[in-house]
Amino acid sequence: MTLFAGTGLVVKLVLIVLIFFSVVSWAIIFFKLLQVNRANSESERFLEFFWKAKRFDAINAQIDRFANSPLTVLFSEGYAELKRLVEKGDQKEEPDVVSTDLGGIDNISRALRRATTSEITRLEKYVTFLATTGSTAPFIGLFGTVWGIMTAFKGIGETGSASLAVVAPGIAEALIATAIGLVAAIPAVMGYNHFQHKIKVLIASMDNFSTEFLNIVQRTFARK
Amino acid sequence: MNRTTVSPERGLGWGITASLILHAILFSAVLFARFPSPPLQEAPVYYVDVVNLPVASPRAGSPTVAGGSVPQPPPPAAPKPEMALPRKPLPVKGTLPGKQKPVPAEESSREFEQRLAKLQSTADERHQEAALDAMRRKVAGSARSAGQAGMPAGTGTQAGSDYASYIQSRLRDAFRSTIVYQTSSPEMVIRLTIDAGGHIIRQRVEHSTGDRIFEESVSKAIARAEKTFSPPPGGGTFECGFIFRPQGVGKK
Repeated sequence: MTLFAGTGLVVKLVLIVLIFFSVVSWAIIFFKLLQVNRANSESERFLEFFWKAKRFDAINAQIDRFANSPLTVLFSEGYAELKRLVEKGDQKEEPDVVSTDLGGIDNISRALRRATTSEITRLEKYVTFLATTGSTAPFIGLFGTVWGIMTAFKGIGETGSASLAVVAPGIAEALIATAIGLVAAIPAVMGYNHFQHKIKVLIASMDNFSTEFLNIVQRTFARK
Repeated sequence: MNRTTVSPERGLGWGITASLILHAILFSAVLFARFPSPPLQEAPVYYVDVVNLPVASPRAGSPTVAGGSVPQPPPPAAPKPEMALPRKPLPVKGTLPGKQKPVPAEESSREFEQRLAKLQSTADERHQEAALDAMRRKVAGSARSAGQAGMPAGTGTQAGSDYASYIQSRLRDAFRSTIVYQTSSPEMVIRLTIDAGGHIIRQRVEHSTGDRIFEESVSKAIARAEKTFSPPPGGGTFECGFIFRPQGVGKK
């Protein structure tokens, strides 16, 4: 506490910025931990339910149980597009047949791709802040330290004493900025790497699900 | 036209709350643990007064301690003088062994006396050394009994102490931590008057090169050194001039 109180205005500002970075980083880490863990667990449960179910409309009726899974968004988008194509087929008096002539499968594929992109964007939201904190916080801290040491040396020159008792407190006060910078940066970098890995896994599972969904649609509904 | 369904998402609100709680816990932990900011302590400075021991009879070379009878260890036994054996006469060039002249008796006795005198002086030197050792031991013993083991107890007021040197040493030590100057070779001569209590009652600048920063550092050094002064011997006032230079403090 005394170390913080003894610092100059610039170092205090640097410390406040770093503390802000740290608070927000930890908030994102907590938020993302919950979000990604829920997405993973609910995706597993949804896939299990999906392969056991016989009909798409039955799956669609139960989809709210897996609201945190990105796969449910993909399913909803694909199902909605499929439903539209089927309704179009009904108008042509050819029920349960998807017109491949008008690019029906491509429509579903595009809908799935769009849903995947929006889910990736949602999952990666705020993660860039962790990367920013990890890469800039040590430098901000270093700036505070350099400034603090400059001020300390100026004070030493003015007092005219170069004893350890005069030099050490100023340097200790300056070094706290680097310490706080590292305290903010280390969890942010670790969190960023962890979430990047988890999100990659989720993206892979979304791609796999899209492919499987298209296969099922083509097998079941496409015109021979 | 249809809009992409987005899965429900709660904001960062609860994350920020959790983060603030975590930081508050960490901050209070640091505060209660009182992150050690150790008080910086300077190493204690020990002052040593060089005392000139009185010598009773410098010519005889046997120092004694005033007011104390030191049980001196027995002097080491003088080595027995070697028996002066008559030397074997060296053969002289150009003379036959049978015709060599005998060494006169006067010469051999003079030689013997010289060697005896040399041995006696050696024995005296050893005797003196033993006596000095005994004195050193006694002085060391009295120092131990006066103060903490291993610490000199000099205050500059003992008989034989040079009070001006004592003051000079304290000024030098204080000046070492305050010295700062802006001209190339600053110099300042100050005459100090110290009262019977060991306090500076007057300081007069006799000469200065005009380096203000150097003058300030000298004033700080004097103020700092004054705290360590002990009263001058004899109970009177003491006055002496001191020369302050970047190289150190000297007496005028």
